[in-house]
Amino acid sequence: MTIAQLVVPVIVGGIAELDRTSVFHGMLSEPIILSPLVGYILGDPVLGLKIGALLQLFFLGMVSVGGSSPPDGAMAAVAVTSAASLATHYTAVPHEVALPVAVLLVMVPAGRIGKAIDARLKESNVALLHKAEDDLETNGAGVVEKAIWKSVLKTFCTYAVAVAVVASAGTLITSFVLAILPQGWWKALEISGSLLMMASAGIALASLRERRAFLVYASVGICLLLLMVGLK
Amino acid sequence: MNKLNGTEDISGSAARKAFMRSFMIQAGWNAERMQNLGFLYSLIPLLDGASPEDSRDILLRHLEFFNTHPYMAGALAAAVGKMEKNGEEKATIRAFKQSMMGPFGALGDSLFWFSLKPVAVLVGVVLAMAGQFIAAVLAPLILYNVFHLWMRVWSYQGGIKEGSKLISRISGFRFSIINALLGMTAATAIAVLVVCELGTGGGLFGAGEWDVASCALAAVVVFLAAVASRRGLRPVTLLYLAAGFGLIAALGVP
Repeated sequence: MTIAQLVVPVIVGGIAELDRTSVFHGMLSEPIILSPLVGYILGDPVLGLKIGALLQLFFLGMVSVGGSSPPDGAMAAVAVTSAASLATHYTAVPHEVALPVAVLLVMVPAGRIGKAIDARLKESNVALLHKAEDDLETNGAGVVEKAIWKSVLKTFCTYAVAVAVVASAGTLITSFVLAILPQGWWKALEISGSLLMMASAGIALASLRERRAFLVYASVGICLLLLMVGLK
Repeated sequence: MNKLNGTEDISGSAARKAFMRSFMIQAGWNAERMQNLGFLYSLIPLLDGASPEDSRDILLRHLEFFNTHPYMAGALAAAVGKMEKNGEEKATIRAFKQSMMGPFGALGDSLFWFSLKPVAVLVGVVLAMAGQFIAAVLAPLILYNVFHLWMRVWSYQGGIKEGSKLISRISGFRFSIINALLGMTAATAIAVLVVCELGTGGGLFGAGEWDVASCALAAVVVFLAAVASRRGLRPVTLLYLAAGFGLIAALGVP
């Protein structure tokens, strides 16, 4: 583990959070993109891919509409992937399924932390607005530009620090949980992995706004099952 | 970007600068007047050439509440910039801005957040299941951003060239059909990933290859989870319930 492997995920997390909240909005913050990237940086891209796929289904419908602050999938993606990747170095828990499932169950609430930070930043930007409003009369358009860049810098720094703290705390909590996890639970966690996938797929299906989504899902599912019967 | 050539009253460089700034429309988002700072930031280059007094007056007027979908805000800023340059009535400009931000917000939410994004990321999840690391990361990014960036350029160009007539350009787009097609594609992708994850044994979390009856049961479990989620059960509760069932079932088996 190098210093770069510890610092780069934090910077990537900060950039992803900027993409999610302030600049561009090009899906860099989606777990299916972010988790494999963090996993790759930490030396385990496949683990990142697994975590990213499951988190993506879970967070699919959690989008900011009308100024709301939904749970933060990017924060959860960085925290879960970092903790799981680091845990592969010291735990005997099988890395294929049981480890990511255990870490995911411990760390998924990290998304709530991002949501809380989001709300705080939106509140704190009110002061920037009032300052810009007061200065606009005398100093012209430059005050708006200054306020925008201040806000971007504040958002990046806040989230980079938050990602570092959450990922570190998550790694500590996870290492404790993995240390006390009875060996008999490892197989159980593997079975839970499939169930988590199903529950997350259900959550993703429910988040679709298309009213015929359930009907299409059922029709395609039945066709595929019939195809499986035919092939077997 | 070459299409942003500007018009007689708005230069190409000003239009391009304002367009680039529209990517930061959510920066400065505040709990009091939401995207107003980002909107102003995008509007400033379009006021190039206005006297300092006029410019200050315009900026102060547009410090009011503003909130719409981030991808559509640039087009509205462009249309407002064009109207300001044309010297249209202040009340007309305000009415246009106030009346358009709601519909543009709803349109962007339904098209991008609830239709295009699910399809793009679900393609990524299906590719992840197939073990395609690079494709799983790049495919959603390309699928989503090609359309998203095109839409931004196209609508922005409409705002710069047509001002308040931007609405006729947008209303010519068949959003409801596109949304329905994308929604059904996303539902299809979920069915594919559920059956393939469990049926092939090669999925991400699949515990070996399942028989057809188990796959059918899994598909029903997904359906029930979806119904429970629609009925208001919190996603995180559903996740822990699923894990709990898995643990109880596995630990109960000797």
